Amino acid sequence: MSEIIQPIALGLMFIGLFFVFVAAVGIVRFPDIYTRLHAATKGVTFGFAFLIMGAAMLLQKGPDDIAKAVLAIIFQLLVAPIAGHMIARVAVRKGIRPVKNPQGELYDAQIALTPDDQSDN
Amino acid sequence: MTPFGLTLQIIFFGVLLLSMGMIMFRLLRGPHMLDRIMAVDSMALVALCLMAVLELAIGTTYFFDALLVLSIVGFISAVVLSRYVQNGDIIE
Repeated sequence: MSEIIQPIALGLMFIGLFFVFVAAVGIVRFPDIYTRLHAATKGVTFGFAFLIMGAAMLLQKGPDDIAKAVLAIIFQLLVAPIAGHMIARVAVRKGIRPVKNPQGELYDAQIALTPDDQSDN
Repeated sequence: MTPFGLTLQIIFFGVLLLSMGMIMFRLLRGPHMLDRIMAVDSMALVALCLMAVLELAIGTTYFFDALLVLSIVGFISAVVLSRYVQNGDIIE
């Protein structure tokens, strides 16, 4: 049984590791806060889910670890959109502009990368 | 017991710590307060992944409880800090 489970669990953990690393690259490289929130909410949560599930399957100490891992994954899938929505809503209300406007044209990059209100920076 | 040898430990810890360092770059540099809040939220999740890998490395099962609690703490900190940035006050 463990000969079947262990390669599957290691594969899940490597998928999760790949997505966490790609999300970190996206957090560093993306140009404005709205695109960075895509990496920070979706990418890291996806990688976290795969990595925790793989770790719980690889540990093989009983079913309660897998139950706790499933609980953690469900909770994270519930709350990650809420946190992203809160941050994006505050960013809109604070007047931070994205790099491109809704018509797809570039704003001035210097204006887009610096916030309008510098007081709470 | 678990087939999680030294090579796998080095790969997982190395890549996760590298990701954490890159998110730390955004935490230190981020042009607005909201970028820093987002970076802290992501760093909490990467720390939870590090806890799972550490649990495999030392072979205990006790860290899953701490993992549940710390995921709640990361979510609450992101929501409360973004409300603080919006209102200047947490409790309305």
